[in-house]
Amino acid sequence: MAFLELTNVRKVFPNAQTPAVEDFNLNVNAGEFVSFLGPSGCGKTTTLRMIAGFETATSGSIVMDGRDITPIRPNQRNIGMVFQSYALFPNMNVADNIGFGLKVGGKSKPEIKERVGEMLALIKLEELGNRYPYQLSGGQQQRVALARAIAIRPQLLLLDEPLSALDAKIRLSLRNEIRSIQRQLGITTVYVTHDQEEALSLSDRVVVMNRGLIEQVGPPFEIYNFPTTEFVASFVGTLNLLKVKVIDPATGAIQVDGQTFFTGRPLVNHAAGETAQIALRPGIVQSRQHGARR
Amino acid sequence: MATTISTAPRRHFSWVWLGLTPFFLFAILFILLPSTSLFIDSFRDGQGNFTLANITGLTQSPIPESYWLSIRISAVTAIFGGILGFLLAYSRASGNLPRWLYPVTLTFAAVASNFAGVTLAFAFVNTLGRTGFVTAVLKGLGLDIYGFGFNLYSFLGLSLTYMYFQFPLMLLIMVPAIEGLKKEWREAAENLGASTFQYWLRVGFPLLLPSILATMLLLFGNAFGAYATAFALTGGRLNLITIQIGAQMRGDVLHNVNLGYAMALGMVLIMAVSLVGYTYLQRISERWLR
Ligand SMILES: Nc1ncnc2c1ncn2[C@@H]1O[C@H](COP(=O)(O)OP(=O)(O)O)[C@@H](O)[C@H]1O
Ligand SMILES: [Mg+2]
Repeated sequence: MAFLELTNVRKVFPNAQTPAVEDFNLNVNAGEFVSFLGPSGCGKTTTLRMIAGFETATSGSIVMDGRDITPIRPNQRNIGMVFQSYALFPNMNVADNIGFGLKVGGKSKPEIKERVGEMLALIKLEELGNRYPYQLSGGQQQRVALARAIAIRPQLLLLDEPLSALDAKIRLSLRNEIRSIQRQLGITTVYVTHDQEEALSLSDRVVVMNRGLIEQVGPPFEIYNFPTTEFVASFVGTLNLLKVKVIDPATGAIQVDGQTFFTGRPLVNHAAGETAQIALRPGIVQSRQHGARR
Repeated sequence: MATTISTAPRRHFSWVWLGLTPFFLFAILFILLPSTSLFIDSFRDGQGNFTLANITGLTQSPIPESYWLSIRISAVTAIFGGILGFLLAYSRASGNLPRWLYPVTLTFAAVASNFAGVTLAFAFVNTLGRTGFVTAVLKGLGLDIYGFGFNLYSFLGLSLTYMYFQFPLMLLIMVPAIEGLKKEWREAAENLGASTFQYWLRVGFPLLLPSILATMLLLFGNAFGAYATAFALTGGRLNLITIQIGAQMRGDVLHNVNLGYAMALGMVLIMAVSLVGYTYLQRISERWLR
């Protein structure tokens, strides 16, 4: 049984023409890092917020650790969340921000102090415990937000475009830091992004979404090299779309302009003689001058 | 004839400055010039010679008592008006009120916060005065408020009257301040396990506190400078500093206009102190709520 199970989740906002999320089925295993990838407005945030409890699903169920969490209030779910805008409490210093969840949870002072110290070490900001959020850079603020979410030892970590507000260089280093912290703690993580590079480089599995629907779920390699829909093919990476004639589905033989090529794997769902669409990534076409195939 | 060509980059004329001209003109004409002349006149006698007599005159009874009375009434109405206004703004923000109340409360606040002077005094005399409507109704119910020692023309009565414009002003300023709290702060707190009460106690209220205190200082200044309401309500019975100044200017008593200037200068200084406090608090608030 998966750690997090979303079954037939659907969300229709009041007065909305179309559902924000529909037919959403996904199982996330314990310790797995899953990304929701898709263009703006495709329903990533809405899905994440339903998991966190800030939105109620119109129908469907969300089960975490064998327990249906749909009726549970957000402050009882024990899920950590990181927001795009950091959402640090401006009236508290870094240490108090990180310790906030423990404090409202009634933990003792020494216990809070120890955990905050651990977290500061984890995000490598030991020196900045007394600083206020407005005295930190965006990247530092987001690390504090991450530490604050993790400090309560959540069963699940949710991140909603945590790097979007940062500049490119920091985005890259913080991305790696997030991944290494996630590996270190083994915490089950759902990560929302519209940046395909981010999703592909971070995740165990990527969920590509479009218009409230899941287009494809798979490991980054699959998503990148074997997109199952035209949308995924065009959204993920730069590529060229070609109309081809299928010669032999079993060997992956196809024909373009009378020339025969081979795709890397058999073509399921296609019959010989059919016209199909392939997506070609620049840089991965190989030629074999002396083989039987060319 | 030699001509020099300026190589300095030509500064573009900015329309922003033109737009600000009325503001600067206004500030110079009605703030800077009067304050300067007030300052100068405070150190002059009737013949225009330099003197410290006006300043030392400020320590003569009843002037210190008048300052103190004005400060007390301003502080009391700022604090209670502030608390009441904040609570109303808060309950508005909690979203549990009937829908029709939302625009109604704001419109009322906008009107009431500007309702002062003779009309306000008249309204209170008509309701809570010795023969006022509410007084009569209460008396009919067996509650003789004047019999219990209430008096509209007293400290308590004037405070009640001031409350009429104090709490709506607080409400008017706190509504957008509360709306300025980011939704993410609330959600982050909730996500970390905080109850609604814990959120307000540790995040919402502390974040608003600088604005609350700053607005209370504004209310203080609002009441401190009020003259017409007090004069219309109590005549000269309550010796507020503004009423004292008015008396000096009109020549009711000794008619020492320069002493009046010195008294006004004292008011300006007290206002300036509260303005410094206001600015300081606003700056904290801005840094946080940016
Ligand atoms: N509170 C809301 N009320 C109404 N519609 C909403 C609300 N939040 C999101 N939506 C709509 O739901 C759709 C999905 O939004 P969202 O989940 O935020 O997308 P994403 O995070 O992928 O950019 C959008 O069409 C958006 O306009
Ligand atoms: Mg989003």
